[in-house]
Amino acid sequence: MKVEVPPVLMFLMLPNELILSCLGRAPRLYYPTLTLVSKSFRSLINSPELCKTRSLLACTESCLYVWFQFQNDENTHLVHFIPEPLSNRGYKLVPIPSLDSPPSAMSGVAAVGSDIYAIGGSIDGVSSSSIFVMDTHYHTWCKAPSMHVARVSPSASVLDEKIYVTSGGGWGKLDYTNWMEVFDTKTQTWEFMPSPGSESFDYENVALEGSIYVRSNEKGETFKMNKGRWRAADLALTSGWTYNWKGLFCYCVIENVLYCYSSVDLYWYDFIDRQWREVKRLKGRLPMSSKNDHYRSADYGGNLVFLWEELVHTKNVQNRTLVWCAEISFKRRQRTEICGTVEWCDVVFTYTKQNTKQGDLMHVISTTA
Amino acid sequence: MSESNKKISLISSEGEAFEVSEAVAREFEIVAHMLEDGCSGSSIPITTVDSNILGKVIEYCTKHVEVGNVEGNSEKAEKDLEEFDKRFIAVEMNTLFSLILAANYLNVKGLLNIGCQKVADTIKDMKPEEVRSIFNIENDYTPAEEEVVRKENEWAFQP
Repeated sequence: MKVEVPPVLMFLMLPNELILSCLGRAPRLYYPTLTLVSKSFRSLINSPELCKTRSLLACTESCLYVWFQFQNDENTHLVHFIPEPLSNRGYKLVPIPSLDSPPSAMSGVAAVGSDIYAIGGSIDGVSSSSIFVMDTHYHTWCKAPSMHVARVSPSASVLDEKIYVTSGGGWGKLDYTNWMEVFDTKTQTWEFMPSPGSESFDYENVALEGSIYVRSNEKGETFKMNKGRWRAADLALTSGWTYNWKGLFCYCVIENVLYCYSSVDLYWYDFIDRQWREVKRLKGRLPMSSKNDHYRSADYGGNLVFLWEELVHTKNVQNRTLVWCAEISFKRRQRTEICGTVEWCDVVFTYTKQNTKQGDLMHVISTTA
Repeated sequence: MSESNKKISLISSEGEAFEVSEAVAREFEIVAHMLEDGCSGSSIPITTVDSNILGKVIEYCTKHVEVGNVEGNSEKAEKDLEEFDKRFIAVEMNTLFSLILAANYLNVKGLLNIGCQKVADTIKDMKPEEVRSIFNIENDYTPAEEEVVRKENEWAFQP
């Protein structure tokens, strides 16, 4: 009997689309290791085709990006991200090589798909209207069309691939015509929005329930966009969507629910009964220290992620800063009850502050790629 | 139903005939299209797939057709099928690649999915040298080049 030895079929002999279909199913976390296999592996891993394959296969993952601004160098932004728990090495923030990161400080941020937009800010101390976009597949930056108005630390939210930007214009610079501008990421154009007619022009804005809500920073009023017109929103919503005692907002929308952290408890807004309700089971379990209230939060694939800093002084090191992160998942028990669970809480990054001024942790945002 | 009783022969690259029910043959999308286009013959040559692999693909499709026909208790059936898939795809790398290639050619989407997923699951926790060894890939980096790539992703390699 003749025994035929079959030719050995090797992985790289498969058609390209099949190779990509295999690699695209592996979590992104493993890609750095895979780039070391060979040169052709590296170019496959870094190829735009692999990104396309991942979205076709619906294998995209949420990634968290954290903005720091270091006081000693106003113009340097470091961007970090947490992929997954790095197997048994715990969670950590990892620096992204950001050679071409934008020159602006105090920008607003917004994520559309796999892109992160850095909106306005100040460049060399001058307020700016520029927009920089980071493609989170490759961590490369490019410029997008500028806003009509220069804005520092603006508020930004995203609805239907449009970025709504308010605030940050500086004293007396904003009026009925320019208080809000909207960037259509498809057409790459900016447009102004009509005003709610209030004497206030400085607003926080958030995308919620398929609409945009704006809350005045000067007056206790909130408006909701409804069929192209602004309408006053519930008074109750305004009362709870507010500053904490240090004058900082800490709110986040997750699966269409607005959560607000008051430095003590976490609340969510019940649109049906028009009232704020406390997230149950979290009492006393929120891991944040009450000494610190510079919190940043983000929707991380349906969970709430909190980041905050803790300053540690030892004999040898002054102003050692620990960056803490906690991930909280939610379960709706009844219509009126949402329970929270702290999934994990850990120090994810440490650095040394040059001075004790708070505000280095600027933004947290998540994207899918 | 008379259709489900109809038998079709699938002929492997070695010329071996595999007799299957039309329902199973239709799991091969490429065959389903041929049948829809009025290909009336009862034997269909699958010239690029050898007997070993064709037999396996038929085994996979037969199981999936069987389970698809059982009514009720779908949760248990689904679990069984998952178990079957898991056992079915636990093959050595060369066979896995051949199955992926065949599933792609014959357009058996479920098999293509579990095949590619198996490759991804296998390599994800491996060191670069392990991936090279199971995939038969030569390391074409010079030590200096390797160092550069390592530097790019330093964070991932920290202990």
